[in-house]
Amino acid sequence: MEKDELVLGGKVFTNRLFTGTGKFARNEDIAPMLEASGSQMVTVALRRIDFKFPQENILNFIPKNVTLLPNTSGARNCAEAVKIARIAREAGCGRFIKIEIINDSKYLLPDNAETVKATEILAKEGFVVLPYMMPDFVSAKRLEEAGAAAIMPLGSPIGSNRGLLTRPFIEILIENTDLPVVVDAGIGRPSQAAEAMEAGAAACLVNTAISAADDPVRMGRAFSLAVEAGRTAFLAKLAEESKYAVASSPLTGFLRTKEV
Amino acid sequence: MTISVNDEPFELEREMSVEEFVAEELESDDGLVVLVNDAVVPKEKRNALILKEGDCVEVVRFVSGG
Repeated sequence: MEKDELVLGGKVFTNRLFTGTGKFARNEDIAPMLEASGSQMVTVALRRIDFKFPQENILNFIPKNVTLLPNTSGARNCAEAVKIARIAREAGCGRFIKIEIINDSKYLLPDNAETVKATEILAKEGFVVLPYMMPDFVSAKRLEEAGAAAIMPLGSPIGSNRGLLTRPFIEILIENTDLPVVVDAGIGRPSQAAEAMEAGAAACLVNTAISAADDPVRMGRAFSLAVEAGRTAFLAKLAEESKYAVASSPLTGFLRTKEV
Repeated sequence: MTISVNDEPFELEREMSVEEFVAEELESDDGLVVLVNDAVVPKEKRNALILKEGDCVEVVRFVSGG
């Protein structure tokens, strides 16, 4: 079998499961999860410090060989996302940025129009831009023109574990854009990640379903296997579906009795 | 003199550099990014930059997220 690599921003990814660092009961589980899953890209967020409740430096829990994907969570518009992205880069977090612009706190759905604007600005500044988006064909075209390195449509609302509710729209993106499609948000089970990959997604980004599992290290492994299985099936091209049975054994030479 | 830190008024007893501010006012320097008036101050420049009345300081860090 030939090699199957995903190249983003000049970096080669041999593992198509991207993971998040949010909601782990113990940050000490992050490194073993990355090891067990083989995930080569992991998200982090940027926040103002809280003088009353000091937080741990998350970067201390991430092995150096894993690519950091800072997100712009908390940004409500293009300007705030651009500011966060620039801080992340100046802080030494590399060129990758996940644009996440959200105005709605109930469903945490992304603002595609502001996301297109931020993508254009940041791509021109040399960022490898991975925008989190509603799976909308027109927006995907705009993001492509704006210089996105991939697009990251949601399967269902962030952290909801409801799976690929948007599957038909994600399929339109896969069929009609040249960009890699990374399904981000809402994937709750390994089987759903496999489904996304079978449909032709380039990768999956999974956070809550791994970090909130009883055993996040083992679940990271499960997702990795599912992503690989789905990807391999996509490359192998699925056999056709049919309404009626199609016998697998020859329809001749039956061993029959005389009385029927 | 008064500066603002993460949008809250903050009293400094004396003039000080960003480096002194971090050492004296913050619990730890681990993974902190300091901005003064919207510009990131690289670690090696913290000593040379003296905070002035009315400066807007932001202190941020990477945290967990998806």
